[in-house]
Amino acid sequence: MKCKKAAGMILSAAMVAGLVGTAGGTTVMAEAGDAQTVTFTCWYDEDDMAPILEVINEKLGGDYVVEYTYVARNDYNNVLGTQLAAGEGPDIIADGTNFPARIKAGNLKEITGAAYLEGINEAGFALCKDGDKVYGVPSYGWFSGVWYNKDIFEENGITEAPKTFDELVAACDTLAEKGVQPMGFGLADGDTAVHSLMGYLENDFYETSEEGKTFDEAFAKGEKKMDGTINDYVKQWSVLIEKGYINDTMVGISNEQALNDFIAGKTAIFNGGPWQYTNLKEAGFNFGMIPNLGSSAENQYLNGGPAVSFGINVNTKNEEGAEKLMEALASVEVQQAFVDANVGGFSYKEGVTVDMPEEYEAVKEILENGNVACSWDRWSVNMPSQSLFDEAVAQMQGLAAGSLTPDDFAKALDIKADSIRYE
Amino acid sequence: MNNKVKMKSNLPYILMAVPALAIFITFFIVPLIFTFTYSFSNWTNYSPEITFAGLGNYKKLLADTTVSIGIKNSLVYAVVNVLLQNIIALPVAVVLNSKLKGRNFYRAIYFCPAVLSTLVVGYLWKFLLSASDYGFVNQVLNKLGLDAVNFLGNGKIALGAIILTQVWQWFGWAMVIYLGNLQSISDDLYEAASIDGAGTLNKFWHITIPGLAPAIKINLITGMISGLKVFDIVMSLTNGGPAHQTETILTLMFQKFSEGNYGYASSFGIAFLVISMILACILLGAFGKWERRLGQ
Repeated sequence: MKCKKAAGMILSAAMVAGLVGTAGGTTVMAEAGDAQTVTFTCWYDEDDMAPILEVINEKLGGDYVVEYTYVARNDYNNVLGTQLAAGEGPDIIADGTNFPARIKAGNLKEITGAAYLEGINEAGFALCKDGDKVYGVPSYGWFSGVWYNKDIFEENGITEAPKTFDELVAACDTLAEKGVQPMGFGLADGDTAVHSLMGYLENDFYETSEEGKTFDEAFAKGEKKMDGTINDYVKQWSVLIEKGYINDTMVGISNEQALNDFIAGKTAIFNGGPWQYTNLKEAGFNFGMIPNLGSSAENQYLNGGPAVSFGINVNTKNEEGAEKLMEALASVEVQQAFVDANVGGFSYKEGVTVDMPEEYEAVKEILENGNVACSWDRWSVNMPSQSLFDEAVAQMQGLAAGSLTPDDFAKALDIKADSIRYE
Repeated sequence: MNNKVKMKSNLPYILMAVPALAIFITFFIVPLIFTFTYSFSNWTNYSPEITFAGLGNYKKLLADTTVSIGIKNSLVYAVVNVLLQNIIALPVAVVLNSKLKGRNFYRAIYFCPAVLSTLVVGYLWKFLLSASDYGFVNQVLNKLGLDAVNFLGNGKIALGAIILTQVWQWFGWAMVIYLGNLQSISDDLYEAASIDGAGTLNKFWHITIPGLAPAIKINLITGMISGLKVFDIVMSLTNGGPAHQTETILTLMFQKFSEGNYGYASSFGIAFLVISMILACILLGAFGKWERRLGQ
């Protein structure tokens, strides 16, 4: 019996050990020859990275060659976090919203004053700075928005793209009356409804109200709460749920399925971003992009920011190689390669040219004005904001399903934020 | 035989056990000690220093509302899944142990899903159960004139949908264990019972079920333990959603690890270990009593 109990205990405990497995990635190595390798890990797959790596290796001039490792996005924090906690990791650390957390953890070498920082505009350092100290360089800028099918709009008598949130709702009303499903969201795994809400907040609260302009900084420090502040805005935006344009069925649909529905012409509107441009273009239909809208058509903002930033691992054994790679990453040629690989992305680097396809006509001016921001980048000064963003995505499912209210949504964000602040 | 001689004669066996013991200590005992230690620390991905946090992580665990959802879901999943699997597997095994035509084919078919990766099964069922037009199950329901069901997007039924996919995948596994055990029950017992006038049902209750005690025990205990550690199917089907309604202890633990909250995640691990051990002990105790009663 003792043996049986012991076996039970072993089996039970093995479950805990079993979970903490390692998540792998794939590594791409260029022909090294006599050159030394310098390592770099990110979540962009090898095919997407191939043209960029080619330009990087050209810039390195044969002294060094990049060894690139791909790690899936959903494993990235685990893999990189574990490596860094063990004092290991790639020579160059790449990260997005969690970049400030890496600075906080002391994983990155300070590079303030480095020559290669010249020509990068201040907005690009949104995630790379701690006070006046610089720890990284940005790659390209991302933004999210709303794709719409121009043909479906026109066929149903909507001749102009909506410029305000009310116009968007009115367009949805018209489409719904004519039997067209206005919006397609894949809330089972997609974060696009949160982008829609946050875009509404960016335009109607964060950038246009006095309280909004300083709210995120105070919220990140734990001095202010979401509950009691954003509730009314969430309620106003929730008209999309009340009218059924975002609904519980979408909670059972993946983002990919929702995208397929949009491509197939089953829905007229799909929230996404430039990363879907090539897919949509290849589908061969007439589409365009508008921003996530607020109540005014003036001084609009897009959700977005630096996509991925790069810094030197404080524990690198190859400091010279890492410096060379940083220099290459910050160069006009490599920054251009990043933008070219992300049709519709924008650049923070002087000298990089960005061709905006015609589909971006409605967001072009916003980008030119530099009106690109997102709240989770601002939260990241005092919390791993990706975790709070993920919580918003989870709570959005409840909101769409009707099991949670806007008040519950705001409270849940406060509870999560309270549990993850650094200080 | 004195101790020295006894030791000498046992030495080859002890030496043979050493590699396995070393692996067990390295990959289980040592990590377990570390996990236990870290559960009392504030170690995060984002703090360069690890400091003692006392019972802070455990207090936080008790105050975390999603933890109670995770524990409840893990228990419901383990109990309902293991019961359904065995309720289906046992009679199927009895039928497929008879001289049924094509029984090997049926055995193979029912066992097939068990050889697939749970993640693959999860992604497959995600498409089958999708609420979109692509969802095969809802297409069938629509063809039958029924309303579509939001299997994975409705928090009230999503866990049930997950359980059904796992019953489908794993009941064949339990069936094979029952089949193995059934073949060890002597036909003489059934013949003797027939001579005494026992009917089919009586033979099932008084010969088959007691004879299957070892298989029942294995299926229930391993099913319960693997049920408690349910993780991959939830990740692939719902990722703990909608709105945390299908979170389990391990998805929450994974989430805390992903957030880089290692100290807190370790306290999850230890709490989970304790819960699993308590349940395993209760089950082992109950089966011990049952076996002793059968032996009398």
